[in-house]
Amino acid sequence: MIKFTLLLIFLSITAFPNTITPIPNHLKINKEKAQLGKLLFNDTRLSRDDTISCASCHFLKEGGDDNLKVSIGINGLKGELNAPTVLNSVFNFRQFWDGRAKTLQEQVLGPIENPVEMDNDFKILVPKLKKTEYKQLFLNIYKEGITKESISDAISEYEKTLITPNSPFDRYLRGDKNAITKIQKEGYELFKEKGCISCHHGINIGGNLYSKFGVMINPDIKNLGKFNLTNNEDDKYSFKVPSLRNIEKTPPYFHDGRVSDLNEVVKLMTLYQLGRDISDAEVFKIVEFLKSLNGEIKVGKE
Amino acid sequence: MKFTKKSLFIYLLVFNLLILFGLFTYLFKIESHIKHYNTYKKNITNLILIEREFKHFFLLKDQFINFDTIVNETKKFESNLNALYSSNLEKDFGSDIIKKLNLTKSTYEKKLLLIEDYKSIQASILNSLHYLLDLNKTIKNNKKYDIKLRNGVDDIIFLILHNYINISNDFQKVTKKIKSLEKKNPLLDNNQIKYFFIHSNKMILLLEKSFKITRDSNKILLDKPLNEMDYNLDEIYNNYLKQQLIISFLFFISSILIMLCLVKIYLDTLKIKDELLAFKYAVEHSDNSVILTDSNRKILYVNEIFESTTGYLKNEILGEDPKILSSGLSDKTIITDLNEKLKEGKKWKGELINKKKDGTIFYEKASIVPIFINKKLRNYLAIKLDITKYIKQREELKESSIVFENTEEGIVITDAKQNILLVNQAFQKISGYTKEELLGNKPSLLKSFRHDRFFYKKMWHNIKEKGYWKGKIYDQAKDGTIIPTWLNITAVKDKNNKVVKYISIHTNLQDIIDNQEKADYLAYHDSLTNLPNRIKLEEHLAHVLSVAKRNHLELSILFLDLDRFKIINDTLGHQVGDILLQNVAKRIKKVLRDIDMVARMGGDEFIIVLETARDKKSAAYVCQKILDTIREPIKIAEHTLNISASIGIAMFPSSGKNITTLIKNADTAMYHAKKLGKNNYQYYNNELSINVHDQLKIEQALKLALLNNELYLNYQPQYTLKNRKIISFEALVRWNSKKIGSISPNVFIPVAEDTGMIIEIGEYIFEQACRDFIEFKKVNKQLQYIAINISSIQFRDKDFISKIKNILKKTNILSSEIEIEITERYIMEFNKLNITILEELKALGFRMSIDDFGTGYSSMNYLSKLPIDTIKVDKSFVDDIPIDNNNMQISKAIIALSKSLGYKTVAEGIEKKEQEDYLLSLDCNIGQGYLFSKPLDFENAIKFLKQK
Repeated sequence: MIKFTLLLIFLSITAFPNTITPIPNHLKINKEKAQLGKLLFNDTRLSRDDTISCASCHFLKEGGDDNLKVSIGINGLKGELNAPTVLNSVFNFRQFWDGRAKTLQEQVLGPIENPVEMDNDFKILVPKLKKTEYKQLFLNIYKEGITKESISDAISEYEKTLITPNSPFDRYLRGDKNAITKIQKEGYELFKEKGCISCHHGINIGGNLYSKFGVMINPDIKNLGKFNLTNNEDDKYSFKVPSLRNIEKTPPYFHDGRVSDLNEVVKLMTLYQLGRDISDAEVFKIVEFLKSLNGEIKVGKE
Repeated sequence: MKFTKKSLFIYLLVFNLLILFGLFTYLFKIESHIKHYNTYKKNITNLILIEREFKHFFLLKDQFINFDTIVNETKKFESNLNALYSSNLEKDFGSDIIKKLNLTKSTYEKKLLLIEDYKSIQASILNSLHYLLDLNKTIKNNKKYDIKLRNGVDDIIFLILHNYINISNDFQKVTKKIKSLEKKNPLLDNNQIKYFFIHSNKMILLLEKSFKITRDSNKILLDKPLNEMDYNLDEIYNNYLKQQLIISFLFFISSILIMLCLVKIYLDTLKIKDELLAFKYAVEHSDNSVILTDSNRKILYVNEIFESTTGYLKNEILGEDPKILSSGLSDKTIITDLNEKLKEGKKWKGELINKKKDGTIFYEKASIVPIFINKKLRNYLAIKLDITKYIKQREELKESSIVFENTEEGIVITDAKQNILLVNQAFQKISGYTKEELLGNKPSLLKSFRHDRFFYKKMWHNIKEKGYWKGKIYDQAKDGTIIPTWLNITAVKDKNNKVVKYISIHTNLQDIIDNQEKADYLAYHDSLTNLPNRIKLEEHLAHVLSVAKRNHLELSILFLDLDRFKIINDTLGHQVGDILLQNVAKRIKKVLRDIDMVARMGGDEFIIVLETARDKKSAAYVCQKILDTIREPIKIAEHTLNISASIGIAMFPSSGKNITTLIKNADTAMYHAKKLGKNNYQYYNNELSINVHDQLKIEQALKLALLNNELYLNYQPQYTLKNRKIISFEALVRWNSKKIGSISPNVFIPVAEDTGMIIEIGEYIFEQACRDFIEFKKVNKQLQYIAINISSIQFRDKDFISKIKNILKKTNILSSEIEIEITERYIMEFNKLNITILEELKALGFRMSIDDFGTGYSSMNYLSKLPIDTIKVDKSFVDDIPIDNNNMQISKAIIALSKSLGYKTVAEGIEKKEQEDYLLSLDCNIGQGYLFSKPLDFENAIKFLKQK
């Protein structure tokens, strides 16, 4: 019994420590590559019919996504999943909802060749870009010139600049006790108590593990998630836990964009993932807390 | 042999260097392999460490985990893996390790899946556990729930915790309990209970999964390939190190070998260097000049001998062409040969004649070698020896041998035992023996037996003592001729003073003796007549006189002079004269006895010493014989000459006691004989010459003569023979001494000349004559000039000319109004001074005339060169006109000669009308004599002039 008691004490102490870390103000990047990457990011010529650019779906000023349930690609084709934000994506352990890309560079290749997104082919794109001003721009940086790798490298380098530091909560973590409101502080406490933090923690407040959508209670879900990659029964409906940074600005939510109200999201998550009740007051406080995660977006400054 | 040995070392060296290079390359390769060992090792170590983190991660199920940590670990793991993949690991450490790496990767990927699963499950478990513990508290303390339920919940949670912390593993039991509790409490409307069941059921599933993952994870041995990889890496690395060690060792061995080679080469070089130094020393101190040039013959090196030989200093000559030494005297073919040889790359040897810096010529024996290194011409080396001394010696030797062979002296060289080793040409000629006959023989072959053995003994003694002997010796030639020889024997000694050779020089005295006799003869004889000359005569006379003196004997000296020989010489030529003299000499000699001597004194004068004629009588006898024999007509070529002689006799001791006096007195007597009409002989007596006593008297009286005005002048008129008109006077001095009475000029003039008083007297005469002439001129304008006699003594007076000039000034007489008369004898004393004075006088405008012409022996040659105007024919030639045919011929010849030379002719002593007529017929210009007028004193002369 003593042992049991000790265990309990141990559990209560170690249950939810402060495991959220602030975003650094800058990352070490290659500025020239990033500048080139920025050009490419905003260039529709990357798509097969010159209609879609990366920025078409990732509006940097509006949370780094398109605020649509699913994105509209070339020829108005619709994607299957909600477009994740490009902001802070560098801090994610995997890219895409199903985490099929381990790195940003791998991720970049996806939308360009995706038939419902840019529908391009690097075998076409590389010669195409070589006929443009990019030829020299690339040669200035890459001795190999324009290749699949150099294109993705430049864009991914640019994406490393797309981080949102100095959120009120980061400032709070850094010691500014007044950076967030009392309610937000209470919301943060609830966030930990309820167990949200067990999945949403780390630098990106999420984005560092997979989790089944509906651990405790099964929601209505079509996409098989990680199962598509592994064909492992256990991986069915598993998705990358998304980051909560700038969460207020990136509706609609979930992989299929099924909910647009953040309160609703908190409620659903408490139910599906944590298998417990939550009052509206608690939801309000948590949402308030979530709003303190909006960082500064330095679009146009770089 | 040396060369191959040397190259062997070089090959060895190169071989070793190649090995070293190979080793180095290999080492470098290994080094490049293991260069990244640390990186690989670090990567692998990192992987191993991370793998341990992974292991640890699966044990963490009872605490909250920030998954960023494990994400970072996996990312680190992946980056390490990628680093290994993108490295040269395979190249550096082989494919085995890559297989391990591949295995690691695949294993890791499996493990990663488990990690991801574990993360999800861990999050859920922790969440559920947390919530269950919360529920347990809530339900346990909620009294509204049945106690059984409360206990059941507590029980189940307890069991779940048991399972969670691995105390038990009985999930079924827990599940059963949950199921039974669910049946008993179907309170599904209560959320707390509902969530409890959901969570506890889920918890069991999650725990089962968690355990399963942990087990699976334990089965996936990621550490195994990692450790193997690590081990493999280290193993290969150690292998490399071992190889490195071996290579290092080989490196060391190779280096040692190279060092040994180098040491060996160095030692060889040292040896060569020593040799070179020795060579250098040898070259520098050689007696030979050594010159080294480059292939363009520019001097690179010369040694000290070169400097001292040529006088050029090293720094002056470096870079020059050795041609600078060329004197241009060397034979051109030699130079051509030299150049050709060198062009062909051959050595040249020969002699050169070169020039030193100061221009001195020297001889060199040279050998010039082109030096080829690797078949390429690099240098020329000239080694030259100054052989000037040798050449000179050789020349001297050659000259010596020429002398040896060509000298008049016979030279014989014998060995110490007197065996003849060498003879010269001259000796063969002298001795009459040939070389072959002489060689090996002894010089005693020539012994003449004129000397006794003591002579030879003494000779050899002398050679032994003094090393030489010289003296007169008589040798005998092969044909028996006795050769008077001057012999000079010298012993040649070696260092030890031992005689090794004798050299004898034989001078044949025969020729010398002959020559001496001839020379003696020439010295003592007249070459024309072969009669003894004056020297011989004096020698002989000295001897004869001494004998006569000792024996109180008398002897007579005759002075013979041919009469009018000069005329013959001048008119018929010297050759006729010479033959005449030879004939006369023979004739005289024939008359004399052997012991009497006739000597020619020069010209036509002979002296005869009669030892046999000891008294006047016998002398007279001989004289007459001589005169007779001379008078016999002599036929020379087409001429038949009638010649006579006059002889003066002086007797010893009565006429003189010494040679000079005797000859002089004989001469005086001879003149006396001439005066007596020639062709006779006269004894000398005291009356002939003024005796000493009279002479002194005259001398003293003469000193007073000028002071007392005892001297006065007479004037004899000279007239043109054609129309007998007076044209001049000859001034003649007269002395009427108060002490000794009237003295003839013939007596006092010689005294005046002897004492030098003639200068004063002459001056008086000259001045007085001039004054008188001015007076005469006043009386008769016909008078053209005045003739004044000048003695030869007067000419010796330095002031003579100035005195005359002075008189001209004083008396206002013109030089053209004076005719200076000089005697023929003076002309015969013909010398430069005389001529100069005559020319000077002539230049002053004086008339010049030769007095007493025909009595002396003036040569026609001289006559033509003399600055004279007039020739006076001697009285003796006029006297005999018209009786003496011979004298008439002579006067005729003289007048013709005078005319042909453009001179005027004056005939003296015309006493008879016939004489005057004859002279006129000969076209003689002027006459003088008693016929026209005898000499007149001043007053009578004035009278005479007035008459005319």
